Amino acid sequence: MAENNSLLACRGICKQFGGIPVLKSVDLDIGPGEVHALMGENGAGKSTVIKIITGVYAMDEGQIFIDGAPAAIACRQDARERGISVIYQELSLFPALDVTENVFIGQELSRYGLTRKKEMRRRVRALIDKYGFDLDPAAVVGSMGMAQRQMVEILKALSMDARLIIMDEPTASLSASETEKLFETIDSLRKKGTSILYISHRLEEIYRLADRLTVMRDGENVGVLTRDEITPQKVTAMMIGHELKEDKNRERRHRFEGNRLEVKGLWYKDLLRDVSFTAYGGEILGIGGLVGSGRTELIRCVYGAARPSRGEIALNGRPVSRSVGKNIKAGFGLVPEDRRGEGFVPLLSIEKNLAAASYDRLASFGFVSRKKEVAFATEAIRSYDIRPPVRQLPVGNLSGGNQQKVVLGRWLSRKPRVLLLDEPTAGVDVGVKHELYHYMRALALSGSIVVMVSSDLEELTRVSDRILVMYGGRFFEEFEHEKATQSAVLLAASGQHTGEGAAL
Amino acid sequence: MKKVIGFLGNPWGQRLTILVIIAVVMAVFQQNFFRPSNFSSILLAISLYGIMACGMLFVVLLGGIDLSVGSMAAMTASILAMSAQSSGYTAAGFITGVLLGLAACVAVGIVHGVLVTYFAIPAFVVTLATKYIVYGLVLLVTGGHFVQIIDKGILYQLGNARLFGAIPMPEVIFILYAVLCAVILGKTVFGRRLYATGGNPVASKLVGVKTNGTVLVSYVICSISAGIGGMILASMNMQAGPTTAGGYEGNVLTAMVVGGLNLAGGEGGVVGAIFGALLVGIINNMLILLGVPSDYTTFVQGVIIIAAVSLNMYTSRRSQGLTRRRTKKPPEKIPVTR
Repeated sequence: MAENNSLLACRGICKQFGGIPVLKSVDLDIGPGEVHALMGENGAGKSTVIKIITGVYAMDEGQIFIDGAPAAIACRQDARERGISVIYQELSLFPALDVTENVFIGQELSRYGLTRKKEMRRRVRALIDKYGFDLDPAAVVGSMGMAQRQMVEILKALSMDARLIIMDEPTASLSASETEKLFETIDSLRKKGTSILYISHRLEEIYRLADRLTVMRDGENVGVLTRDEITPQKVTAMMIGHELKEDKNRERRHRFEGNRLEVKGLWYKDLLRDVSFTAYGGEILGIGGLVGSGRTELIRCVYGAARPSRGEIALNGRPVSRSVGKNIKAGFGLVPEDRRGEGFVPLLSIEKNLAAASYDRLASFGFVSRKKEVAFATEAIRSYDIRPPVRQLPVGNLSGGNQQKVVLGRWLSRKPRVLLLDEPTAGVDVGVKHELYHYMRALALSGSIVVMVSSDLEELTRVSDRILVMYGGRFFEEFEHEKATQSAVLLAASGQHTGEGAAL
Repeated sequence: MKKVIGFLGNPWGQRLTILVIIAVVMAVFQQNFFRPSNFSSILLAISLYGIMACGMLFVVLLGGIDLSVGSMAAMTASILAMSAQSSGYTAAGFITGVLLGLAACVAVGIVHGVLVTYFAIPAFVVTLATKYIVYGLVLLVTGGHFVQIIDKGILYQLGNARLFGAIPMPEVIFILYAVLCAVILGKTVFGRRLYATGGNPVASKLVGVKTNGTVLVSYVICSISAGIGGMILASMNMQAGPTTAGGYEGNVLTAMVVGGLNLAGGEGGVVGAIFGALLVGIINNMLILLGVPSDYTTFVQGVIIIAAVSLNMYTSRRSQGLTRRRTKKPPEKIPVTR
């Protein structure tokens, strides 16, 4: 049996949420001192697996073995006692405390009710020396960079005798040099025999680190690759599986050349490097790429919500303002990525959230026309089938899909000339998704420019008429709808040309 | 039982319940409470708090606070009294005093707004500081003494005249001011933007709201309200000085809390603010009528704050189906990975 030489072995793990199977008999083996990568598209079930291993969720079926012996992990404490630790993306450190205090938080050594600071420092120092970290036990965490904070998190795990450290997208908030530092840390952990389960969307990181790679798709384990078997083509093929060839020859969309958004040479911090593109009325322009590739920043710069350091943005030859208010009046709209945080006001009613961007039309001399406001909201609720259709209901009480309909409806009711969407269907159920696509398409058909940023490859390749893929702050490849396959887009997002699209 | 909790979780249900409890208590112990003249005196007593509470409401809706309202009231009261006195109680002196007082309020309000928005200093800290700064300035200018008003002209009329010989001027001003604030909050674009900004500033920015401007204007409105309260108080007392309106910020904030306003911002209205002021006034009146020594009223005010907030928190939680049972695990949702 494989689990005999594995540190952790999972066999046939199944999990359902509300009757929907999320994991269908997943196997996972992690050897001692191995860096094991886990990849899969959004929604493939990676996070659920981690939560089961760490005792956050209970599995419906299956078994977990540790050192070959069956192990029951019912809660977080169980996982910790068996040497399994997670490094969270949103680090759970206390910025005002120093490294030692953070490492020992909740398990402080004490004598006569007083903490034994010297002893704790000594132990942290010993751990730091053992793994060769570049850390000072007395340094205050708040003054550290993200990479060092991650080291503190790792140290915390090691202080609890962790044998398996799980890292979920640990490089998402790191710069290139910090990433390299993290990789060195991981290398030294591996040398000392600590296993790592490493989850990432970035192929280049997987090459750099992984001894083995498990690929998941739709809640299933689709295969395990050893170090020399990992190639971009193989990995993307496994992640995506058989693509449905549907509707690729649909009729060519009519482009309204008269409605044109032009972006030239855009720079923003170190996130956008000389980005240029043109979007036309009548088409849905998809923007693909990994999280952090600069997509969100790009559309925020266009909208006026972020200030680019250089570059030109023009709508039909006229420069676009740097003020959100003016741009809205000129026909722009933005559906932001973080719906609850940026999309709507939870306490306010459906009616007021819908009308929020349209008081230029619903008021005169600063006074709101109640009649127009009610008519505007009623019409939007009816047109976009917002449920329940009660104007006065706070949007915070609606389902995710209906919240998104409110955010989208706010703009659609204005018949915008340019609608920018950032992950428009994240966290929305399938039925509502298709409704949203339908509204987006209808808007494009009426001649408006629709730009959609999406991480959902199926959505991107199905809905977009043209796809621009970003990689490292610039456009990497452009695909026409007919040529856009999920695997080609995914490869482009990882910085690999396939020849399907046009290199940029 | 569910219906009862639902009723109590509703702000109107709570208000009605509290009023009924008070009415029952007073019907048993002190029927004088129900005399029209008593209601009139309650209304007069709360006029000042009411005006200042209406202003504070703008700031509280944004999740802010203004601790300096008492000091600002003392400032405008002193400015008005000194201006009137030095001009020999002419109408021109009165008008100058009013304008100077309001200008000073606007200035303080702008300082508040700028520090809170552009410098991102917490409103609590900013207004705590200006409370002392403004009070200190009043001490310096007045030399720590009261400015006595010895003329029964226009300045006296402001706080003591009766409209149609029946309704005291402060009540008239209060009612007009409350209506004005209700209109601004409920009928104008500015009002819509204020609620939006209070509820979610980031989302508001993305729909084109100039949130910093909204915050700044709100602090100015709060300052002006405090100033108007101070001027009326000067006229009612026929004197003004550093201790005029001393501790009023406490009463105004009590009105906010007791009125069921969410101090985190985003919800509530003029009705809540006024109801809060009214309740504080009624309870003070009740204690007097019941013969409770005045030394107890401050103590009781503190107890009322806790009681009102506890009731509010408890019922609104219960009516939303939230309970305090901790052992129950939250329902597992389908996780969204990104």
